[in-house]
Amino acid sequence: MIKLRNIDRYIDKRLQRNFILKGIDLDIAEGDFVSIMGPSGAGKSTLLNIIGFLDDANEGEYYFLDEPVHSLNEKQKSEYHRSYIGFVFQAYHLIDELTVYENIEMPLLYRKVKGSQRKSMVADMLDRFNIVAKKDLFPNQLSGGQQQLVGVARALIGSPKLILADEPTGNLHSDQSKEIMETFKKLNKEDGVTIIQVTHSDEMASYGDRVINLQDGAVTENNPYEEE
Amino acid sequence: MFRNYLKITFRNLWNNKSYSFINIVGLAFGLASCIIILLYVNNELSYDKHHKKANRIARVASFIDFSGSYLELATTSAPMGPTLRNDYTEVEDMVRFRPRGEFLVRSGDVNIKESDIIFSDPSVFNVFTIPVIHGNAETALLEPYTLALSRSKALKYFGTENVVGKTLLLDDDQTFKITAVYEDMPETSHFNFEFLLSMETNADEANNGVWISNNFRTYLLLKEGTDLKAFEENFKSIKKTYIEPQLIQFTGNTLEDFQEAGNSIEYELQPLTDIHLHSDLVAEFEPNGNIKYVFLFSGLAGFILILACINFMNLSTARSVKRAKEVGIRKTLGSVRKQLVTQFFTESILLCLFSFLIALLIVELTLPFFSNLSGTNLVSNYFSNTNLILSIAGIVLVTGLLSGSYPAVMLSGFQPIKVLKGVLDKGTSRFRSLLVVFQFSVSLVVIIGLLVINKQLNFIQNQSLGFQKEQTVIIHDAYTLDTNLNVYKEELLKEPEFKSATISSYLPVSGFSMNDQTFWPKGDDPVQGNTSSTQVWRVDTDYIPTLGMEIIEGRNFSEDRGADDNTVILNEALANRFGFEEPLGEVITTFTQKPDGSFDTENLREFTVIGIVKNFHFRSLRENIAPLGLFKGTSRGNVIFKIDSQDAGAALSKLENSWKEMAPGQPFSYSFLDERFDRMYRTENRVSNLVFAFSVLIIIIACLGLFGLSAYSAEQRTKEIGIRKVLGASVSGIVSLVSKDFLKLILISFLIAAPVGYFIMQQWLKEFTYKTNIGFDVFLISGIGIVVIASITVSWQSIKAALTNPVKSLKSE
Repeated sequence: MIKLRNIDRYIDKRLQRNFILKGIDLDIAEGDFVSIMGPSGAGKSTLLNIIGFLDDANEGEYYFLDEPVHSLNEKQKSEYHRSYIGFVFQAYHLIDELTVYENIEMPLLYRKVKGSQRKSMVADMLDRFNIVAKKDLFPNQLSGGQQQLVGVARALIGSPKLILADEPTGNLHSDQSKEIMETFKKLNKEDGVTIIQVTHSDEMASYGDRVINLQDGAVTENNPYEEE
Repeated sequence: MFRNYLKITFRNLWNNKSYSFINIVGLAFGLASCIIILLYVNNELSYDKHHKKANRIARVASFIDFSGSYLELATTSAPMGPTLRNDYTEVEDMVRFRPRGEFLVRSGDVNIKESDIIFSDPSVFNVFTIPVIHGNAETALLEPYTLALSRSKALKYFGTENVVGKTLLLDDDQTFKITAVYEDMPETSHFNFEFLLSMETNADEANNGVWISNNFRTYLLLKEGTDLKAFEENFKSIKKTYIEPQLIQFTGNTLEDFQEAGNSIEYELQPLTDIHLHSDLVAEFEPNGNIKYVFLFSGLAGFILILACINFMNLSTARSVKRAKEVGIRKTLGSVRKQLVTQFFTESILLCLFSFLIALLIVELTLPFFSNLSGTNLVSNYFSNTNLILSIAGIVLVTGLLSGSYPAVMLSGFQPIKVLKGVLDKGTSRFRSLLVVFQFSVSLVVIIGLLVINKQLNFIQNQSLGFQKEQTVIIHDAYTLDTNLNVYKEELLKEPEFKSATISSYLPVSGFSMNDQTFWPKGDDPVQGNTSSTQVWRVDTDYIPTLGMEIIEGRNFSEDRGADDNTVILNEALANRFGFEEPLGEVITTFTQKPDGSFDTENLREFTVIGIVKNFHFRSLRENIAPLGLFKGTSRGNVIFKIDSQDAGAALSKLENSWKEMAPGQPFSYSFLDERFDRMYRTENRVSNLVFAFSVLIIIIACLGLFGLSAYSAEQRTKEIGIRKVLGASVSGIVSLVSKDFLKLILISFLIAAPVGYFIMQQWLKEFTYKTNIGFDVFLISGIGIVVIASITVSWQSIKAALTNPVKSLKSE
């Protein structure tokens, strides 16, 4: 599904070139649950952003479903965002002015889903995450874990093939974190959704079935747990 | 999706009430003033357009340069109109108007002095669109002593509309038969007659064939497709065919001689619809508008709107950090840029519509006030005119697009990963500063303009006029006292309230008689020599003392009957013009006049100079003081009393009581000289009032914007302020820290605005011959004023920020 070849991401300073990512080669198959780990500044988020089309690599090739991403234009990228990719952020990033219901509904608006169908899809999602009672509340009326649930629900409603999560549990306490990770795991196993998450925690990484360690912009260990 | 936009818009408005308030109210005020100005401009531009043949009608104006005096007249000679109609195929019809002052109009007990009364050719109903509701338009004014009157006057005099066949008594001695009643003329007409008297009544003058006296307003109805300029050129030949013979007859000179001596007669055709805004000639029916003020106010409207839009842009970009997150999320959810641009434009247009509704309300509430200020009757009849609706719709749309453009383009361009991380460019704050500078520069220019206009008006009012305008009451129509005139004056002078009195038609303010005649020093040639067009004022011996004029050489007229009949008192301007070094005893000469008003070149009259009066202003201070001579004689237009009492009311009631005794049944009317004087500057006063109203508005809008921005900036810096306070910064230190940035912008605005304002107002002052200087004080006042206003606006927020407990602001992070 994802094929990265020799990806470089760097910032040019006056005298030197600072590499954030250097020579990344990576293959992720459909149905994988991958955790990207590594110390601060290793380039985890940048890698995730590149995978999510939010950032462009300076060098190298990136194929998403065999489509060369490096040659897609803005509009085509938006098309992929709508149909294939869902994002979950550490800071939730819900729209403050919209209710839970409306936040979850929003991706469907961009996919031009019809009104009645939209209603049932959102209702399903609210059901699934047990937040029906909260559908008319605004994000600031929810706890962090509830907000993140809404964030996940929003990411899922477009039935994406890929979910990108940047430290989804970073702001949550352990019970909430577990709930989110269980959700991810269930999605991965039952619906075959590909999940890539960035995390600092071994515990969270253990929900996945593959770990990629990044250090100074390079993959140091691919799948360290595989042998176990 | 649209509903989603709506929701976001309204919830944003609701959650940020103070921003929304500033945005909507600021924009509403901007739009309201725009609409008001648009109504005013529309009103000014609609003058005379209601005449169906308006685009084929032109007025003949005369430009006469004769013996040193140059006159631009809205009138021309009596034979001009008929001759053009007979000799030129281009002219389909023509109509002449000849005013003969006011008339007392009587019907039974109703006896009123009417001023909108004029002699007119019968073709008036053909040339102009004046709907006749009773009577026959074609025959109405054919006979002598017939008249047509407006519907409202018919109602006033008879209580009914159809009064054809009834009669009215004019000046108590002429009976006129009513032959037609017409619809009242609209206010947007450069003339407004309530009574039309048939020209046949005035046939002697109308048919006298004299080409060199210009008393008739003449309007031509041209054939379809006539080229005005070409025709104007074409009919110049009348000068040779008709005017030259009369020149030779009256002055003994041919047209060539006449022109070689530096004189000239030119005629021009003024399109009817241009008259109101472009014509400012002698003898206009009423003071016209001025296209300059139309431009001025249109410009003001534009600026006000731009300022309001800038507020909108400023506040929305200031808040962009917050909105940026939304943009980032929407982008990751698959929104393309176009959709975001649409969203932000939808928002701004919605907001604009919202403001527009409030603006309509403001317009309704303030229109009477502005009608009063502008001296025009403004009506919010939006649907009367498609252009008006279109322009208003256009303004709303353009405002929406303009104010939405910057946020739309800027916000939609955000990189999602950057904004989600909270990294934003510094560039936008520089742009905001630029906008603030622009706003305050405009405000300052307007303030400077306002100060200069007021200064000039004050200057005029305090100018040494050469006469005293205070405590002087003018009793009009003194001639109706008839033989009691002198008795009236003498009786009242016995009362302690009155210091002195004089009887004269001539007064040094506009609205009274003017009488122009050519004089030359005895022995000079009347055409080639040192001639001067001179005001001839017939006054009595009390005139100079009553009006407080000053004789600087020689003496006043003697009281003795019969003495000084052939003497004159010159003003300095005339003495200088003739170059008299020892003016006393010099003799000046003029033609006598024939009964028909033409000059009798055979008989000359001579006057000996007995005194020089200090120059006094008798026209607007826009003009130089013209040559003038005071002659001993009677002119019975007014009695002028100098009041020597604080109680003007008591004095007036004495004047009125005696009047009622001595002139029973005649209306008593009076005015004060200083009020008449102020009336000459009515346009300037109105402009000053309007500019004042709009400049207050501009300042409010600019301050609203500044207030919003300073609030935002204080909010942005709460953390910084908290840290500084924890580290020991004082409240005053923090206030100055936050305020400093804004005051710097105000100072920059001042540096831009001062020279621009100076330049513009210098141009405006050029219209006045007697003008104030734009002093340092103007800049000092405007500069200090704006700094004070801005400081108050900004410090409100900075003090609030400085007083916040640092624990709160630091915790909130």
